[in-house]
Amino acid sequence: MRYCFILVTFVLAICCHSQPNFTLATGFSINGYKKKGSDATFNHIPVSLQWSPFGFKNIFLVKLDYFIPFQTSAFDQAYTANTNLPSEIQVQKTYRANMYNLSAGARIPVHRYKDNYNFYVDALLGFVSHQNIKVRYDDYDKGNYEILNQDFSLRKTSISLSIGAVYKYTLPNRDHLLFMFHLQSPLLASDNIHGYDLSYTFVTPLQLMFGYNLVYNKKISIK
Amino acid sequence: MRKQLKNIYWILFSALTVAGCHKPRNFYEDSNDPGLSRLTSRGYNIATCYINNEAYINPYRNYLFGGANTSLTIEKIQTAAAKDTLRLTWQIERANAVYSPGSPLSYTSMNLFIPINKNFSTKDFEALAGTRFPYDTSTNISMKLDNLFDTTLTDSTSIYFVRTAPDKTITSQTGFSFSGLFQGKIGPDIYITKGRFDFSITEDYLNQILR
Repeated sequence: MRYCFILVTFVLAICCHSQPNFTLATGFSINGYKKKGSDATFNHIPVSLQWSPFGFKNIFLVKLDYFIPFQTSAFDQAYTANTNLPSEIQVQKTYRANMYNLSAGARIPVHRYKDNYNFYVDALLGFVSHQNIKVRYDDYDKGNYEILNQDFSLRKTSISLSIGAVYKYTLPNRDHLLFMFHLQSPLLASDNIHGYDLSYTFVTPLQLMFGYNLVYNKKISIK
Repeated sequence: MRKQLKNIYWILFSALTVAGCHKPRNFYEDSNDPGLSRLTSRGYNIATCYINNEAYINPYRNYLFGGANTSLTIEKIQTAAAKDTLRLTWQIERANAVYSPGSPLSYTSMNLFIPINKNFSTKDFEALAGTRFPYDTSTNISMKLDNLFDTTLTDSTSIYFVRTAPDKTITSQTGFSFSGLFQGKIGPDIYITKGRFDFSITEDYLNQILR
């Protein structure tokens, strides 16, 4: 999946005759929605490559994100009918939520200051998200103990939406710094496995990022 | 013609609606115990175990308008002794329903017998959660297997009522799921191992049985 995203971006760069306008951004992302009773907290370091193929003058935007996951852990109870052993034990499980997003939409200027548009609103309506949430249990006595309502890994690709706010600061060399906040909607996909409910659900990231925007050929594309 | 088409549409719509009334199998295989369902507490109405290392499951029955897992039957057996007996029964069949000539007859039902107080109530049943009855004769817990021709009774067995929880799938009345583990030995050579159940019942049904 990651190779498809890279390939699409590469092809678009070759085909486009306009001056590419790239932003490389990173920051921090927390999970905006947690299932009731769930112990899984999904935090990430997002790495974002954003491309305005027609410069800031045109609102079209393509965004490619990869979320570097923090591993998180929780506990499940396991039980045994064997009266020679303790009736229940705790088994630790760890989550790693890998995520890739490819989106396209608009970066709309909303406030202009001194010939430069400083504030923008991002509306990313063409959004594909791939999430691969891996669950792993520590070793335990599988011959005697049974975990109650065991969790499993979940992997899905689906569509989503994102909106955000951007502040652009122009540097003396005419490049820009961008400060961004984005919200993503839940995936439009079922979060159970053939009807089996899991204790967690898909990641809905709230991202706070800062990025460096490189303007190609500064003589022409300033505004 | 238009009226006939309208009638056909309504018949098709009704048939599709009714066909959608079947309940799912709710069998989610335990990767550590092939052929058995995972231990759950969601009111899935599923019970599985090994009998001499062969997987058994409660059957799924298809009816005219849908299907469902065969459920649990509860009976209070009044005795002249100091305690009555609570009997939990469900049908079982081989998980692999392929019959080979010469193989032993399949068992048809599983019964668990639990001694209870004379005034055992629904609240007492719910309070069984977290109770593990040990594998010895002091508790008089027993298990019975039936097949077409015979019944066999354990000397002693071990049952663990892991959890009772409100069942959100029952919307019209108060219901709860109860799940647990069981194992036993019948005679010298019948071993029941890795048994687990997850049943859903209503309070009204239990009140009716225990009154």
